[in-house]
Amino acid sequence: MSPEIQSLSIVLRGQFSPLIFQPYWLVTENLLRKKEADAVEVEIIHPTATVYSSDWFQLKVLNDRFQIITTQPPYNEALRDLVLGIFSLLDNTPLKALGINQAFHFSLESEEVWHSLGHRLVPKEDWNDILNNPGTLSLNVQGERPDSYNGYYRVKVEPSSQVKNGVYIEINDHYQLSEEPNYNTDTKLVIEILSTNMENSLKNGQKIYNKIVEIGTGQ
Amino acid sequence: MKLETVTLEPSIGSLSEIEDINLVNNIPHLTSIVNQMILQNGNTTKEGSINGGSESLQPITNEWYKNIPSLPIPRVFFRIIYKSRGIVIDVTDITFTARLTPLQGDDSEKVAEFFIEEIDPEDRSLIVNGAVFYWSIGYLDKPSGRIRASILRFRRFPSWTKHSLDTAVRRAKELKELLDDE
Repeated sequence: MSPEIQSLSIVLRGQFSPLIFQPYWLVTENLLRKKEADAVEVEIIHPTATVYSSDWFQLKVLNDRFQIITTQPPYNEALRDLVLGIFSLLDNTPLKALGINQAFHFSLESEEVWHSLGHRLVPKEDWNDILNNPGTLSLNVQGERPDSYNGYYRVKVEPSSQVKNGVYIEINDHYQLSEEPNYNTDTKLVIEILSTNMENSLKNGQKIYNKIVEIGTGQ
Repeated sequence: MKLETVTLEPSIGSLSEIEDINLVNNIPHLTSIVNQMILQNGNTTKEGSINGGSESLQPITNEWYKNIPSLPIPRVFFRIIYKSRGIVIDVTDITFTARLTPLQGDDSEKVAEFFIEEIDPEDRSLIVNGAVFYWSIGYLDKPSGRIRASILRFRRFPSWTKHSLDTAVRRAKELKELLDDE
């Protein structure tokens, strides 16, 4: 079952200078077409925040967070390449954590099926003793990483706010790049992870999505 | 491994066709997803992040520029039926040939020929032997209906600066000396 809406975001926590990440800087560095930069919709470019959207990605940079997101699956690799390009250039950026995050909204055939998914994920028998008509608002489950990197997988399942009889799944593939409160001042690890592990991350995310759909639809 | 050769006609759905569609409509996609994440994120630390995790967004703060306004749900969505990674193996004045490794859809490797005019003019300088691109074929779902379309995007790397070249040369010399000593 295909999702109604899906997205991929790459998030980095560290120390950033938002003013650097202007669209024409990306053009100068051959990372973006000039006409894409000409067409961006800028929300703000400021020393504390840079936020703008092109027709295939949205970029948001704060002093402690870098985030780029696309909702067009054909551009997943382009998104990764853009981040690789940026942090190849800014190779001494202090970083703490990397997240490769996928999100899906999918629709179930009826409200009854939608409720049954919530009951299957969070059985209500024990809750009925202490709450009236309990419903699943949000479920978060964390698991260990299947590889040797520090970090975890975290999956969130909720009713969708965008799709009728819909379910929202958010998958956070989290890599801890340094031990708190220190920073890793070399972007080589991020480049290595994005170059070699992104495909695995996307496949694992798809596997998790398929499993939850299977639970919901019985298929 | 047998490779299938495919010659593609412009009618299959060129990048220019995609760009004729106003993909600026996609901006609501991003914000609706983003706002779901904002609305659903709960406890915060003093830094405004969630237990130091890399989750997508910070919760809403008083600083207005950190809030992304709410926009309607997406109107355009691309459903992939086939996706591949291509490496250019030959270039002529009119076409280029590439080896395609499937990423989604069909399992078999292929060799395909593309018309250069299908490629965005700003990307044509990227068409050289060894260049990598990603090619998706699928359906573009819009409120006005579904159309078959393809998106082909070349990989972009930062331009080499003199500094990076000098650094690479110096590092290569260091490694050579190290290996020669051994």
